[in-house]
Amino acid sequence: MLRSIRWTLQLWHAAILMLALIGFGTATYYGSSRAKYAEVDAELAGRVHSLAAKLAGPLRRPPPPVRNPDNLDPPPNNPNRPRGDGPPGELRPQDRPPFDRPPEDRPQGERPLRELEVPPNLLEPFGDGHDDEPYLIIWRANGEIIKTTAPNLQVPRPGFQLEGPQPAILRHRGIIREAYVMGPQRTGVLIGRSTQRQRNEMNRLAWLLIATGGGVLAIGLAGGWILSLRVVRPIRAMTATAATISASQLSGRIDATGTASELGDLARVLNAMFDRLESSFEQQSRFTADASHELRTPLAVIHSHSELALSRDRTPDEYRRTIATCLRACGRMQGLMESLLLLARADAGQLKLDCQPIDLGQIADECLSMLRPLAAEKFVQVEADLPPTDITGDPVRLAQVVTNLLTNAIRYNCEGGTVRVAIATHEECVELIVSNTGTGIDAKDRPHVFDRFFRVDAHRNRESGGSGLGLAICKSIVEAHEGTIELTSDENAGTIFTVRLPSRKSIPEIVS
Amino acid sequence: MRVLVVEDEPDLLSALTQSLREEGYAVDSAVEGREGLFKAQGGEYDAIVLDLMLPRMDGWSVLHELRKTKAVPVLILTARDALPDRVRGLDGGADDYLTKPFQLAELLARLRALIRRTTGNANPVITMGDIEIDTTAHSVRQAGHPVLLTPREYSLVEFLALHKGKLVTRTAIYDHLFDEEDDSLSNLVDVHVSNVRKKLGKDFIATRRGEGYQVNA
Repeated sequence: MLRSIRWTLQLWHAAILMLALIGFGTATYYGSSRAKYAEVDAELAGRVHSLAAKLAGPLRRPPPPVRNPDNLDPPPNNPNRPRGDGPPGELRPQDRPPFDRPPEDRPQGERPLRELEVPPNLLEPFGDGHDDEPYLIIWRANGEIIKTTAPNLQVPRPGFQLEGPQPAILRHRGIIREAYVMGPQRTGVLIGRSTQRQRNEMNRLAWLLIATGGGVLAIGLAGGWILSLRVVRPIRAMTATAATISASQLSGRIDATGTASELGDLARVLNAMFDRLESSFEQQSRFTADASHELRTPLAVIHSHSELALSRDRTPDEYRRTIATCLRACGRMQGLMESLLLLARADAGQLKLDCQPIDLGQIADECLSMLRPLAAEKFVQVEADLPPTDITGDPVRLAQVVTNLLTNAIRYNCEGGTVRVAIATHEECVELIVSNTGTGIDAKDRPHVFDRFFRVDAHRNRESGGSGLGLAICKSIVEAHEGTIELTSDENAGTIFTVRLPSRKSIPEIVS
Repeated sequence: MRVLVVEDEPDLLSALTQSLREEGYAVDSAVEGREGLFKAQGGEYDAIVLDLMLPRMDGWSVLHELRKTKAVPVLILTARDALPDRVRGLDGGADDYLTKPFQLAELLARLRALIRRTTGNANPVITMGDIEIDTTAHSVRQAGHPVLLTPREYSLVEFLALHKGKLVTRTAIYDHLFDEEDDSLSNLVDVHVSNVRKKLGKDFIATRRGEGYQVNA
């Protein structure tokens, strides 16, 4: 199942979709969280700065007469100082002192810090929640807390290092975020708040993202499943059609109409392949039928004559005739087998050529002299123009070609006709031309003359022999020599076969 | 019985004609399609052996043309053994189909069966009174005793027996007993009839004066 395209597609689709969703969710979550906390931090920093500025700013009323700037002790005789139970110098939240406003001429730093009063707007909640009310803590340089709005909170004192207008330093403690800055006279000023509300919002966002992501994933997977079904369905249909097409039933074709373009292309390619396969099978089965017909006939001769001879007692003469007939049939079968073997080897590219420098003119002349008796029998005149022509080739195979062509030219000539054989040398190739003055070959038969077992039927006759393989063999041999063979024919004006072989060129020997 | 063999392979044709003659048939032959059709249309044959791959006119065409006028049984003898070829041959009007290479014995048996069936005899042994004619063994027995006949005499008896109860003209006997190369005079039929009468009894063959002969069941 996992090997099917559909499941593979679906798994990839799910994995990619999941990755994308996780990436998107994470980015959204962290982006949103950063923005939220940055807002909180900016607000805190702004407040801590304005508080520090307030501390350093002018006092609201005249300072006490005595002030020890180093000690930062509150002046003892401050009439406005509220009475409290706490130790002196401690700033109690329940009795917030007003900020001292120093006179314009009073140098900063000499302000009595115990008179600090926090403006109420500084400690307003940031939003409308009530769980994140900010708190402030002011330390002296020696670590003593001057003022705190959250005495119950255990807030560790950060290490204040630099005086002056510095950017506020931010500190995170769990869900608490704090901003602090060095105030005047080395005081430490800190404003903090809980971010519980932000955290809750972020949690809600996370759950929302997870829920949305899950939904998108489900819809995406379902869509992918339907899409893959749409993709796979025509493939399945094609598979089913292709499965019905077998060696014995090659006529079926895949319906390429209305299929998506790529699949339509595939269907057309497959159909073209089936066409070629069908014609190849047809050719093959025709060849097999022809070959078996050619082999069965001599076999039937041997069989029937032997059976006949054995059916009763015969004279020695009758036996002799029977044996001679069987021998003739054997010779015919042998010739046929050799032809078929040669063609099979040529088909497999294993036709062995014994290539050597040869004189084509001499070979053609020898072939011609062997065939003169046949020509005389048919009252055919032979004209030859065979100058010495050096080429590289297999003398035995080329002699076979010349003999086949000449035999055809003589046999399918009319009585008193002429056969002409000539060699012409060109720059690139050597031409061997065999022509006759016979009846010619019908235009419809011309493309088939090199086909195996093809016979121009009107001429087909056992008396004139021939298995119908001669020209197919010529073609194979010539092509093994990297040459070409072609015919031109006019009805009633004879036929011309032209063999072109590469001139003086070494032909690579084809070895099995 | 007279048979026409149409076959273009001379060596095979010679084997066929010789074995058929040795079986007592009168045999004519043709080596190509047109000649075969011409002979088949013109002659009185009891069966035709027809090859399919013939020069000038192939066997299917010969059969097609022949069936327009003649109902003679045709046995196709060919190297084409593919099923479509056999179906085409039988559907084209052939009565039997035999592929090469073949056994002569089988070909002869099939020819006997074809001839038997077309004359309406299912049994290879024909009985008329006390006379039994075994068409397979080519032997005749009278009252259980074998009667020796020459091949020609046997052919005459067999031909008359296959057409028992029917009037058979002298010409028909001559046409079915002598092949095209036999130029015996037609009164040879009368000689054979009289010889058979001597061996099987005077009443075996009845003469219808001016018409022909008849054997009765």
